[in-house]
Amino acid sequence: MEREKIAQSVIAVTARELNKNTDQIKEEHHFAYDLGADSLKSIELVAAFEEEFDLDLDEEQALKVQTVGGAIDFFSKLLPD
Amino acid sequence: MNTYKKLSVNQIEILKKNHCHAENWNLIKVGRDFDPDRIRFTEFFGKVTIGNNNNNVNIDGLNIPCGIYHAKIANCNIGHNVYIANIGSAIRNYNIEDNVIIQNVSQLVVEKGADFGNGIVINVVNEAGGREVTLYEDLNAQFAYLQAFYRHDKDFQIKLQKLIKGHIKTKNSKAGKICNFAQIIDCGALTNVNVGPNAVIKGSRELYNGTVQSCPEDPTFIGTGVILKDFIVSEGAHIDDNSILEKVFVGQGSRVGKSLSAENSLLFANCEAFQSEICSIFAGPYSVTHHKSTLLIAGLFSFYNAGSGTNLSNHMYKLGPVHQGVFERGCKTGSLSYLLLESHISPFSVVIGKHKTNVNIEFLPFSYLSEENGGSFLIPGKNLFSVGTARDGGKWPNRDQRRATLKRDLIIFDVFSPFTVEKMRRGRDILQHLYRETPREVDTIQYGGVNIKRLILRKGIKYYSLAIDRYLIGKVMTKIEDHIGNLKTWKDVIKLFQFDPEHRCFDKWTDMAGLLTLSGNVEKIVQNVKSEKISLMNDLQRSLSRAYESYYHDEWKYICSVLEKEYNFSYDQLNRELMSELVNRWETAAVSLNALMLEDSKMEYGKNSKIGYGLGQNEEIKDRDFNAVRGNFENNLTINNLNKEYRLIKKRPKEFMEMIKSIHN
Repeated sequence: MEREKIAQSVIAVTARELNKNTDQIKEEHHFAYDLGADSLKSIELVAAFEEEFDLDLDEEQALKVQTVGGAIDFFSKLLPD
Repeated sequence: MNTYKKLSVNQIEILKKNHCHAENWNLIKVGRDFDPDRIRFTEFFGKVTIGNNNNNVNIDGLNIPCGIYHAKIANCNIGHNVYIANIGSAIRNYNIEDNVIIQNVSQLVVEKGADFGNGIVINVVNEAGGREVTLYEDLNAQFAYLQAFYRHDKDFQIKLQKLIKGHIKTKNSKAGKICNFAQIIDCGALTNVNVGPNAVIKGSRELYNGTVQSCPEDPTFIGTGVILKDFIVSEGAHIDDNSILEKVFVGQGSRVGKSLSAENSLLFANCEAFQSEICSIFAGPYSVTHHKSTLLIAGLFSFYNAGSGTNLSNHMYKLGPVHQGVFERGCKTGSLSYLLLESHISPFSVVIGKHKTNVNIEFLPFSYLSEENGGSFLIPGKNLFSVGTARDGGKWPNRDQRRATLKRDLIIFDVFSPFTVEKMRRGRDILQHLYRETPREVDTIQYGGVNIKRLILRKGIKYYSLAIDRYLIGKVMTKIEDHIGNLKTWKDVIKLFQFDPEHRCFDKWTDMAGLLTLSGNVEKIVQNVKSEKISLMNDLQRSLSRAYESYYHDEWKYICSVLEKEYNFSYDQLNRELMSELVNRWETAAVSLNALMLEDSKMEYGKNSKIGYGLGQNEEIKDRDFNAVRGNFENNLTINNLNKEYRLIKKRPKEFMEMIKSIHN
């Protein structure tokens, strides 16, 4: 999948789960510190990404993703064109 | 050999000169080395024996001659080298053993028909009654569990109470007992109270109708301002600071203080109860409440921790306080949390916020129940990777305060056990069903009085699966590692999984207030009590001890009984390839849970944890202040243990697969 499409999906899911507008979300945003995703919200976010991209994520790998841009890169690698 | 003799004329003369009186001097008998000069300002009533009194006792650093000073003594046997001084009214009907100190006590009296707390009936769990527990010396968490939670079997209850009454009869005595080396100093009245060896009662306000069990290796302490009525206290307990307890049992090694108010409650081994109010609770081992404004009422707890301001209400409708709560082992309630009873909280779950529905999450262990906009939301399995859960597993055995040789409560400490794993297996089935049945456009579903976000169902299934894999396959690997020397072929390995099922069900387990055991074991005990094969307390104790001792044996039977179903294979297929698949699965599970836990613990060192540090200073000083106070992530013991565990997890599969190369087809 193209990075741009993945970016749109990541931002849309993040906005929906964290109750934000899509234009409030930037690639450099840290999920916890900038977007207020506490540990409970983080779990919902990971579940939402899994469903969005129809994936079952390796927990250890998923935990390394801390920012919106990091998530876009992570899913870009996982989802081939 | 009776070495007591009547007083000589000379001894009576000395006693009279020392301002002593007796109703009848002929009823006073004394030891061979009795010194009458060490009895002053004392009046004797009825029969009294006094042992030798030629030693000294040490009180507050002073060496004071044994003897009796300023006291009225009625119908007492006083042992050797006892010191009694300044008794307000009298010491009546007591057997006082050797080396006892009784000083500044307003009265020490046993009334006719006293039973010293034995036979007191208290209303636990349900404040309005129906789950009564009879108190007696030797009570433990398991005996109480059988009394409180097997009420559906009337015949069993009748037989159990008969057995208890028989046991209580053996404790009956017309006289009270102050055992060797006990000290009762600066106290108000003690009425109908037995005091065990080496117990220290110092400054208590009133003790009425009870027994203070104590032993030389674990003396019990009752301190300043304490009021105890209708009670049994166990060895090594420490009760202090104006606490008021009525109709209570306090277990071995428990700590009570800071003005706790308690009634109709059981606190078993290693409980800590300070400042709070407790009413009609069955606190299994390691239940803890430390804060003011906490009310624990009408509930079953064990390995429980109450945050400040925890509140429960058991008065849901208008028919009285008839509702009850079940908090299975390992639960925590956060600050200002509230639960409406009836509620049933699964093991190792955390409750945060106020919950005004009846919560029933019995089969969703290790969950987080939180409040969002007034609603109750559950994240099943989230507490599996809380760093707190990891700490709990290790801390309880290390915090066992019991020093008595006989440990009364039978405790299995394991966080992951057939009891919790079976709940996770059942919980996973529930979540899978809910996930399958819920359309994608639905955001939240309702289950057991709480909301669960649809997406979270998926994560709960995953978390439970990881924990189940880590436990079951981990146990299999350990079994093979332990027996590798005897395993020449895969047939030998398969034999490890064969057991005589004895027509019993191995996936049903009961947590008997600390003792994890097959439900079948409990049922067998119940049947044996009903048929009177068990008719003595000692026999019941032995049966429970057997259940305790067979835990790891039964645990392995459980694993054998579920493994094939869980991983969809049969034991006769077991070979290196299949084992390799299982080991890979274990590694994924163990690594994932370790990583999740490490991530959870990182939050303890994240930006939000540093808010109150380096006040008015720049970021660098904030960090330095934080490191000085809290230490850094890399040096934290729990973090280091998690990192160490990670290295071991990564190493173990390779070593295991290398090890089983020696097993031939």
